[in-house]
Amino acid sequence: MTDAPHLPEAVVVPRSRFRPELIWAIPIVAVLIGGWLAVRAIRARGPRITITFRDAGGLVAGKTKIKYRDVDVGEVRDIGVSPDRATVVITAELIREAAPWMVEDTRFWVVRARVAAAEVSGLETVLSGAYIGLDVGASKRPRRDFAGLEEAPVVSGGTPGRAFVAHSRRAIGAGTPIFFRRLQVGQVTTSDLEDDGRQVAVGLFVRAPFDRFVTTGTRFWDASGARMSLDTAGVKVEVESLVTLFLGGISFEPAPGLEDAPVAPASHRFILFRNRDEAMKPPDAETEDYTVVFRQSVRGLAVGAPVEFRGLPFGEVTRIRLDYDPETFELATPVDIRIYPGRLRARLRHGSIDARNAAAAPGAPLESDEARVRRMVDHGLRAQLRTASLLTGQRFVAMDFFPAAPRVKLDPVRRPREIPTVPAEDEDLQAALAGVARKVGQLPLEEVGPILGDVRRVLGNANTAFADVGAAVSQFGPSSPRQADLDDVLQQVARAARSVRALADSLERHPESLIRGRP
Amino acid sequence: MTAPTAAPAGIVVCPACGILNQRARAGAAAARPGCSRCGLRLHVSRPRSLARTLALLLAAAVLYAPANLLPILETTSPFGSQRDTILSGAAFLWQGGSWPLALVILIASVLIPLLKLLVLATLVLSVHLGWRGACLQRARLYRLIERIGRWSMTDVFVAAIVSTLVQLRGVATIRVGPAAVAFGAVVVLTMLATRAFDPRLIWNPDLAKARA
Repeated sequence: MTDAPHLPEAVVVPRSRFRPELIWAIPIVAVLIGGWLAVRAIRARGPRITITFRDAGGLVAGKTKIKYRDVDVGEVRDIGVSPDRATVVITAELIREAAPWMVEDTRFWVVRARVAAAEVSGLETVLSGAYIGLDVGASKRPRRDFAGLEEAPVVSGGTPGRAFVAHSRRAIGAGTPIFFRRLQVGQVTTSDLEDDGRQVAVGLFVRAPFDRFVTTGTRFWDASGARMSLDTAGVKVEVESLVTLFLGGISFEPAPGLEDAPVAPASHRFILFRNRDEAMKPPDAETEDYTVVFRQSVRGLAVGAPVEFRGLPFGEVTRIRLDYDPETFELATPVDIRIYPGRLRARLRHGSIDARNAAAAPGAPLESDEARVRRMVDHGLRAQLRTASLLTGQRFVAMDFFPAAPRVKLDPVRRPREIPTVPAEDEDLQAALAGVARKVGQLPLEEVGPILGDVRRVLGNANTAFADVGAAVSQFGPSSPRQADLDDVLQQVARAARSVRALADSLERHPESLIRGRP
Repeated sequence: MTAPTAAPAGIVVCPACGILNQRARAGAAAARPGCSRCGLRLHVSRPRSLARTLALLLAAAVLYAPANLLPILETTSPFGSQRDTILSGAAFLWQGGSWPLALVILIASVLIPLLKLLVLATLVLSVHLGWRGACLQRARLYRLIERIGRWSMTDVFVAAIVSTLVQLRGVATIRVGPAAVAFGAVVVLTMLATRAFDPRLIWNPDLAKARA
């Protein structure tokens, strides 16, 4: 404190004006965080798309989600109506990852609670409201405006497998299961009426790996419900499974003899048969039309009556007409028949006549239908009208070979081609019966009346004669044996007279009994 | 500047124990002045008040945007999942008819933070530009935001409480969204900014310049 050495005084060093102040780290961090959040929000923003639907039932702007495999990938932002008021237009925003999914064939549909035949789906939407389902397409061309499906597609795009078409008489509900040996292997996707309105094209989807069991020789049939048949073999009840009993279904199996057919390509067209029996039958798809001309009554023959070949159902009658020759007034009844030649060929274990011909003579020219028919007619093929039932008088057309039949010349131009006929065997019997009836009709019944009067007069005379005889006989003694004999005789004569009177009365009442006997 | 203040007289009041201290001489400026009784560090005005306030204010302003734009609650229930921002929640309540509740949320969560940001920005700007007028009004504004500052946390509290209460596994869950963190940060940052601001600068802007 006292004599301190003189030291230089310390100088105040001014603080650096540019010393970074720690407090500025806070706004910098805030900017970083805010910027990161903003970048993330912008990056997460995906494409905006528009989807049109017929109606917006259950859809709410800002709430309805778009889901892909039950994962949220977007949200409905706006719901409006198209300028022509035909559809509603939904604007939706998707997440960024979904941008490459928006391609040409991407599909959208509204998922609502659905209690369909085969399943109950979308139950979660009862509480949460509808959402929009999405199925990513395979195309590469991007797209932003879509037309939504009204029905959820049964099979999502990524499912491996193959689609086929079956032509059916009636529609099958989408989602109906397809069974292969009672294993569910696919589903019905669509049912569309064909352009001609006669058949329904049923879309089938068979999942991999089962799709390789669908071959060109596969037969599909409707396995819905139970099928009960009553025939000579007894009562038969068929049920594919309990599921199909209530919900319906389609089954398929290879046709007998076609187990090793090649695998069917995608969208191969099949026929949907009504039941298994029909499916397994050789196909009747191939038909041939012929005409048979009868020159006799076709009473008892109806459209739909069977054409049988040696007792086997072989075709059916399609049309019955009446023709007459304007010059000769000769009447004829041309009957159009449709036969299923496939039923004959089935025994050959080939799918078609072509295959048979090819197998029979490799390289040989194929026999034309016409030539084949002519050859068969030459061998004696004839049609004949036969009675199926004596009770009902139903008749059918029978085909058989009559080698003894006279040869006929066929009109080569006529369409449908003609198969000659032979007269029916029962036709002769009928003619004989008609002859008998004619003879009975010729009996002179009206002349019987006067004869009856004469008979009665004769009998009256006989009566008086007998009375005279009685008077004469009474002269015999009552105890004489001749008297007794006479009594007997007289009693018998009286009885005979009574009988004759009864006959006369009866004849008067029923003169026809002379011919037919007592009624 | 009519009334005399302590600073020119070299007197510093201790904010903790209230004693008046004689400011150290200029030669001892490098040393850190402390309270002669309790030892608390003493400053003529709060240190680097303007810079601190401005930094915190900027941070709060930056975070104010995500706090209002991002969802604060994510509700998952069988009725679907929903993400609500503060504004959409208020709008939902308003449409649902409970407009008093919507008003409370709107005022506490949107207007008050905004008010604080604007008031603080005004104060900082006025001091920086050396305004001398409307001192009383500015002082009142400062006291207002200091008092209501903490009340804007209600939204964060609601979110925190609801999300812990409603956790019915598999049925309904409520999760706090990213906006809750941002919103909490906004509230805390504005409160810190309010504290960092020295109200004496309103009356004597030269003080800030002198310190800087």
